[in-house]
Amino acid sequence: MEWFLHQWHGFMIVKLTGYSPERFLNLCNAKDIPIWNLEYRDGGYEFAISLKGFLKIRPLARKSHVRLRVRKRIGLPFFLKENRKRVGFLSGFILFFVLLYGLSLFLWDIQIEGNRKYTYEILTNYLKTQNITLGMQKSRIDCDALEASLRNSFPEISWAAARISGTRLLISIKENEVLSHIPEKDEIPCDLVASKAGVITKLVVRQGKAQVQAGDTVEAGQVLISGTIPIYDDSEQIKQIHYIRADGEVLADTEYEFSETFSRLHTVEADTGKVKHGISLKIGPWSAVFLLPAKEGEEWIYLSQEHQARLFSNFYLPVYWGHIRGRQVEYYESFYTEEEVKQVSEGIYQNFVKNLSEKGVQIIENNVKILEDGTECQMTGTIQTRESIIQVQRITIPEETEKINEHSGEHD
Amino acid sequence: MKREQVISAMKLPMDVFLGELIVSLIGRRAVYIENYQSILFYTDTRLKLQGKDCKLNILGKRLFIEYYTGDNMKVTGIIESIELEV
Repeated sequence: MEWFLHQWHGFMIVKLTGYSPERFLNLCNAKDIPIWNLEYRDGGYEFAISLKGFLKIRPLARKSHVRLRVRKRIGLPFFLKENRKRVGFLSGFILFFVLLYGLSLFLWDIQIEGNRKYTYEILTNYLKTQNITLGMQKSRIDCDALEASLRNSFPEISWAAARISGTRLLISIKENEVLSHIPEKDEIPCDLVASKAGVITKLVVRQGKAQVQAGDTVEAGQVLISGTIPIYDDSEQIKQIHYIRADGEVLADTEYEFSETFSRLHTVEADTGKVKHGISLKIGPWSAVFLLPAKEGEEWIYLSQEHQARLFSNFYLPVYWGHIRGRQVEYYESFYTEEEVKQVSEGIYQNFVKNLSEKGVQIIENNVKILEDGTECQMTGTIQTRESIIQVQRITIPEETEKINEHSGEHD
Repeated sequence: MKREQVISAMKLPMDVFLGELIVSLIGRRAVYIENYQSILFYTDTRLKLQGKDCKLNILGKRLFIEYYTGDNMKVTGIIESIELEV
């Protein structure tokens, strides 16, 4: 801070020689003229004194019979005086601040936080429809209106806050964690049928009439829980038939056939060890890349990392620069080794298992084998699984039933 | 009653009320001096200061006065000895 004040107000390095330098130093002290960095050098003294102080010391120097010689002038007042005739420099200096001020009137970065369901792209695309884009004037953004429109357009956003800081638009949102609407209960009469063949291991009926029991073998399409409930009268005649939506849980042991083939031949990417670097530059709509071109027949993979230039933490500028790193690679065909075949086949199998697990299927046992046949590998086998096999099937109400029900209704 | 006794009896800081010299050494490389009155002599090997009732001699090499204000001063360099002269 002290250094900055000295630079701002300007100071001098002065050489002091003469009859009584100590008297001069004491006089300065008595008149409250600050002196620092006092040093004895070559039979004289050198010290630093502020510009304001220097203007007051002439009578003191005369009184103590010393000679003062200015050796160096440092600080902003001297800098400005020296450069006042350099028109180009001065205009560039002023232009810099004008440009800086001009750029600070526009929006150069949008930051969104708190979004989980809505991606950055979805929200920025929405902002575009509201005419909020990078490069627009900051004064045209109405943060209150933006907050309200975000809440209205996205029902899952329960809270939104927008503010402008520097050249950035900072949007904070909070998404609802509960469903915004309760799904309507479906009351259409249905049966639960088997979606695939298997042996029932567990049966829980919540609504409807069980048609099978644990241990039964069922075929695909077979009714498991029926939504047709007949009501019998005393003479065991069907008096009325109710149609309801069957509901329950049915688990069954099932089987999946697994068969996959893959080629033992594959393309290998190998680094040659050669690396090259480049720079990308983007200013507004113009962009340029400084990178040595690749020779014919060479294969390169480039990785680029882009940064946005900024002056302070919130003063972003429309200038992007990036470092490009290229590595040379070669491609060749190769056969998988025994170990690699195991790894690849394990990968394929795990992928298949993962897909099943996502559907809620539990693996009980597998007997998948790998057969190598020249350039191809074949994986075959069956996988024993346990899963829910229910499938909803709508009941078509026969006309006769309607007649029975009508007839029964007349008696009532 | 002497002035020192009065100040001591009132438990007041002696250096402030008597304006005595305070010398603080930072190893051999720096020394802070408070309550001095004036600079009597200064070269790169010797600095002589006037206190209220004594003189202070600082001897050393490459003595450099970083700052001095009304009553305190910081001197850096290689301090070799400090003497009081009554």
